[in-house]
Amino acid sequence: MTTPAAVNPSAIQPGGSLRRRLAVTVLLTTALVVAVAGAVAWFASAKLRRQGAESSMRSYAAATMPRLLARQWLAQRDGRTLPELLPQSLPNDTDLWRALVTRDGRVLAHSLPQEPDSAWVHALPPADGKTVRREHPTLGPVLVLVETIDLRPLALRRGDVDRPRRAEPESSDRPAVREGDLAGRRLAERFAARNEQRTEQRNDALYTWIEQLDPRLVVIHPLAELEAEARRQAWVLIGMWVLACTLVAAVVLIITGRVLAPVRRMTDAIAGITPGSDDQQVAIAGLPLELQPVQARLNDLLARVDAALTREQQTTANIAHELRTPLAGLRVKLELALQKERDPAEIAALCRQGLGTMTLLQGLIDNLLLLTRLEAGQEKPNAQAVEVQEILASAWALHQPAALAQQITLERRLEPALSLITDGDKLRAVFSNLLSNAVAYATPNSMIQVNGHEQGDSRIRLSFTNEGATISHIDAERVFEPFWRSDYARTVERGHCGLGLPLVRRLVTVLGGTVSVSVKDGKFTVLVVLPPSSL
Amino acid sequence: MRVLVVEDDTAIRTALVQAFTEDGYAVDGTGDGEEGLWYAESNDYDLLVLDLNLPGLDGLELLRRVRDGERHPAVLIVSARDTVQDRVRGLDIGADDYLVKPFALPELLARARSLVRRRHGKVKPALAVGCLGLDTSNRTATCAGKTLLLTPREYALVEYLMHRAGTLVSRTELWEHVYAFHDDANSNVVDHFIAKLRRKLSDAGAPPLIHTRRGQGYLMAVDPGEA
Repeated sequence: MTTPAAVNPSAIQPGGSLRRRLAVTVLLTTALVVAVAGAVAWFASAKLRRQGAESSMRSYAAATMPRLLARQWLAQRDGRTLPELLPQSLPNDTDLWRALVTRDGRVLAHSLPQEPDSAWVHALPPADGKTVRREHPTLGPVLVLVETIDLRPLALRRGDVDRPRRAEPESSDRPAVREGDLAGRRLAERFAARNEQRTEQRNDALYTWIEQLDPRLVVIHPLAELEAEARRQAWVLIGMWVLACTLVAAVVLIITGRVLAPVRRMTDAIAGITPGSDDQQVAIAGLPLELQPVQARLNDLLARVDAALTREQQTTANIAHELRTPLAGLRVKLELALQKERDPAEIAALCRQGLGTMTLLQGLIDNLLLLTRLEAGQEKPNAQAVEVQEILASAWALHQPAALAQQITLERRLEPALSLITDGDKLRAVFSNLLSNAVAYATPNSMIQVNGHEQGDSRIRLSFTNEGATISHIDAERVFEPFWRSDYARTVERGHCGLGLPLVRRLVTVLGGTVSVSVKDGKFTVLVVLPPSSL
Repeated sequence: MRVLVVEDDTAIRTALVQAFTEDGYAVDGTGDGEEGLWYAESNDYDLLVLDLNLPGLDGLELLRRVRDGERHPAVLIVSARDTVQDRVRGLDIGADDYLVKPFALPELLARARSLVRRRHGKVKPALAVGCLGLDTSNRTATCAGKTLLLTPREYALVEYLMHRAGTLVSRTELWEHVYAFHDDANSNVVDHFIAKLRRKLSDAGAPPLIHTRRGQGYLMAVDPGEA
């Protein structure tokens, strides 16, 4: 009878597609991981390439410098033209360009495709053994290494450690003994052997020449090839990245589709359940373990809904039945009265019977309306201070004539001055219904007992007991179901339609109390516990 | 015609009993299922008017037991249960008709007449044996075009005999279908009414239609030789 607050479906924000969310998450993760891995690989390979270039430049510088120097010096001493430096090819077909430049920026010799201009020469990096990336007018991007002349190989040959040496800062990042040193020493030895008789003099002159000029060797490594290779690799990596993302996206879509298929099957199964359909449970074969609890909970819910619906239908059917029966009685009486010519006395008798049925019907409708109002929460208690004794007396006055006819008496055992703050009219209705029930069911010539006292927690405890219980203890709780009656015929005769105790329970609930029933030794007891104040 | 009304609502039961009685039926009424079953098993009713919500024994269970038993009254269910399932269940258990409360009294009486008619294998509401005609819809008897004035009891006798025309009807059977359980009457009152009927028929100029088979009962026929 109660209508639960309806949930507006449009008020719930949709959570978006689970499939899309999964796909986007997996795709983004893959894209990020592959991109990071690709970038790391690319940078590592670029670094390796640059290190390769640097090492070839350094070894070249170390290997060729003494020979170069010797050739330059000899040419100058003999008044010959300085020979051209030939381009040096590296194993990977990259030309390694060189130039021999004095401290003051004069180019002694070079292998470059054209004479380097003085601005470029003056802008050369310091001779600190570090490679620097520069832009060259014709070679494009290049790696430049500037090396000072290492005199040690020559000095060692002379065995003259006392000769003044060019001050040379020992760079920490530069290896003390390099691969080229050995080759340099061998060259110097051969050079010395060939000119044995003039060694002393020549070496002195070489030293002087070197000290005057302080030449530096400039090694130039073009980077165009390497950078083009790096770009190619980058494109390959990007291509692989796109391919990986596409593949992952496709796989994720297929997999999520398969994973979510049971959800779709479940949706279809649920859609098939309507209030009228035979199957009120979802039963899907081969449901994944994760969805089985969902199905179980859903079935619980459906069972509850079904039970509620059945109850609702039962109540409606009961109301219809209860209203139709007296209505049928009334109609048949009236039709009978009109069916043929009758004595006024006969018509009066039929009318009286019809009126009786009418009164019954009215009482039923009143009770039904009150019950509905109570269930809908429309009846609020109108609290005032009331005396239990007084209310009980006024309620008993209504049922005393019926009780007297069966020689049923009322025994009141109430605590003196038992009072509480509550709705007097509703409490009277409770007492009246309970007494009416007691009178209807009590064995003739018996006693109805009403006990009342204040409990320890200051709640008021009232019990109504009558003899002649016809129901079992198991059935006791059913008395609160509307239209439930243990003995239909007997109670209908007395205007009981099975709404008394349900009404009592609703009324007592509105007053803030509780009501329960018990059956013991053929005695039926209703226990009402009320709060001292229902405000 | 004998009717049993099993209905727990006193107002409806008394009204139905009165209505059937006024229509010339012999009526028994009870508000209890067990008692209703006892009535139905111990008497040969033409019609059983049955409510479903009954104390003692549920109406459908009562109907099932009646259908399992020896006697075969026509059964009209009168119930406040109005769903299709209820009606289908009632008819499938063996009811001949189903009427939902509240009902119109004339309709219920018309259905009762129709059910009784069909129980005796008749389709038309008008019965005829020789020159004697009977219109069950307005309860009039005619003999050779002239209306016969019959008392309700006489009419009931004629009606039953005409429904069973051509077959032998024992005095007890006739008595059972014309008198209710609480009618304080002996079966020999049947002889008295038969005698009165014969006189009225011969006064109207009809040939003898009701024949006596000594020790067996009565037979209504134009030519008694066949039976």
